[in-house]
Amino acid sequence: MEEQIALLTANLDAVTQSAALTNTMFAETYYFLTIPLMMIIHAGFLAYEMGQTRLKNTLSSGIKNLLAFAFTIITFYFFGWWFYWALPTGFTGSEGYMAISGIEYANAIALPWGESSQYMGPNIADNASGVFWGAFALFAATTASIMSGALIERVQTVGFVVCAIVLGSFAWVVAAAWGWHADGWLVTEWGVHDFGAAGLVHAVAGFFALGVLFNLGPRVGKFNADGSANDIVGHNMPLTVVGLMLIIVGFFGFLMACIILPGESWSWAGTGTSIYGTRMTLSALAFGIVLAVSGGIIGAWVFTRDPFWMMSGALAGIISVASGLDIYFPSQIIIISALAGVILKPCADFVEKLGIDDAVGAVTVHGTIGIFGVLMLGVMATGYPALDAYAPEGTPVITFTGQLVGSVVFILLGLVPGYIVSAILKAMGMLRVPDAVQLKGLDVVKVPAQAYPEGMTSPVSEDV
Amino acid sequence: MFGFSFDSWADVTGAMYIGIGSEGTWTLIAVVVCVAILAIGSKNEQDHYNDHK
Repeated sequence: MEEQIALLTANLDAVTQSAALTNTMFAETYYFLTIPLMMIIHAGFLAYEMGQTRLKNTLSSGIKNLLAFAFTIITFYFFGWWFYWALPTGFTGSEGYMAISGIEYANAIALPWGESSQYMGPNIADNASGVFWGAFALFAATTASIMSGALIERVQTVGFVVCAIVLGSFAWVVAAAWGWHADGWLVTEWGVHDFGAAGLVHAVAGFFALGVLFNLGPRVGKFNADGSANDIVGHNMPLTVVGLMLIIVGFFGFLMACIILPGESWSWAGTGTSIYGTRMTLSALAFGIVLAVSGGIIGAWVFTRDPFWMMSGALAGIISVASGLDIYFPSQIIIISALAGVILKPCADFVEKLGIDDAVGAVTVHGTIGIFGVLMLGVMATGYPALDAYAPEGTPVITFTGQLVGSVVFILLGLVPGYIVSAILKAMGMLRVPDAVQLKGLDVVKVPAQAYPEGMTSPVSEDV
Repeated sequence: MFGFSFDSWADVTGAMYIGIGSEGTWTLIAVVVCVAILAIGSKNEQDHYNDHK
């Protein structure tokens, strides 16, 4: 009898270990796969922006995108990840109630030197740090790409890279620390809930772009002396539309990376949860993402009948419901995303009437609609829990006021650094491409390759 | 910078990469490389603009 019990115990131990290993490997694989899915977003941004660019500037736009990705990922490794863990409670860097934040904690896990390095490189006992870092690094790169489109055809490459580093490895990271972390003060004191990062990624990036646009100025020929705007058309609309659809594909990776899986030492609960510890399923995202895309497309179609705006509507649709994708009922998603699609073009026209040349509507799609999404959750979900698992008593619930406070903070975290860093670059002569160079075309001036060597060339660049 | 003190990777139970103990040095070199690339790129870019103003 005793032998049988010992044998059963041994077998049970073996099965438990095997199950634990399977869970660990599944979790590691799950987050790893979100990374190549999010890389598709960058394939999409490349196509989208190069298509929206005039022939004479095509490759220059592509180069800008590639460098923004590369430098953002690298600087996120050097210091961006540290900001996320150090600053949830504010710039004091003190430890939060969950004891997974503060300068001391960040120093222990998020720096590529000293004792912390063991969590910033290959570690046979660590199946989590790298894939979490990787998913966040791709979020960082996405913010830089969001900003990139607004500035095409007249921003200097290196100046733009500096802006991308500030946005991708600082500005949005602070927003995430405050609003997308269980110890974040926007969450613990105001109940801010932004599951899919509509505010802390999209709005921050959109408003950062706006801050840069104030200093950058419009493309040559965009505005007439009387203030009226000219439509500067990209050279390849099909490429742009396909690019936008690729961004939608990549969004699946982005949003699935927003879920915390169960069964690990770092898990919140026995089920999947949001980053706030509120329970949710991947199935919820399956309902929500495709319906949001669809609602956004049809909403944008109503007044524009333009495939560029319809695909931008698809993006706007997802962004408009991202804050509550974990808890919206699908029919609500259809309504909200369609509304976002409807208001998209009028909002973009308003920005243009202010004399702002946002070449691809990034300020509107990401900034305005991002804030719309954060606030809409405040309207729809007032009273619902914002933070769950281990939340202390008295933790605020979702409220419109809380979402409004979050919105203001996200706007400022984008606008202020964007304005300041671009003002400094402008003073150093590193922001705007000289007008004479804009007229000739950026590719012929500084790119040693041709976009279409056997075909199309821009007439304005032929004699250079 | 490249040192190690074990006979087999199977002896390693945690951090598992070349040059354990020199991470700060390698990171510093990486930072310098990136800053240099940006500086060279910026000069090159300004030269192109100046040639075509």
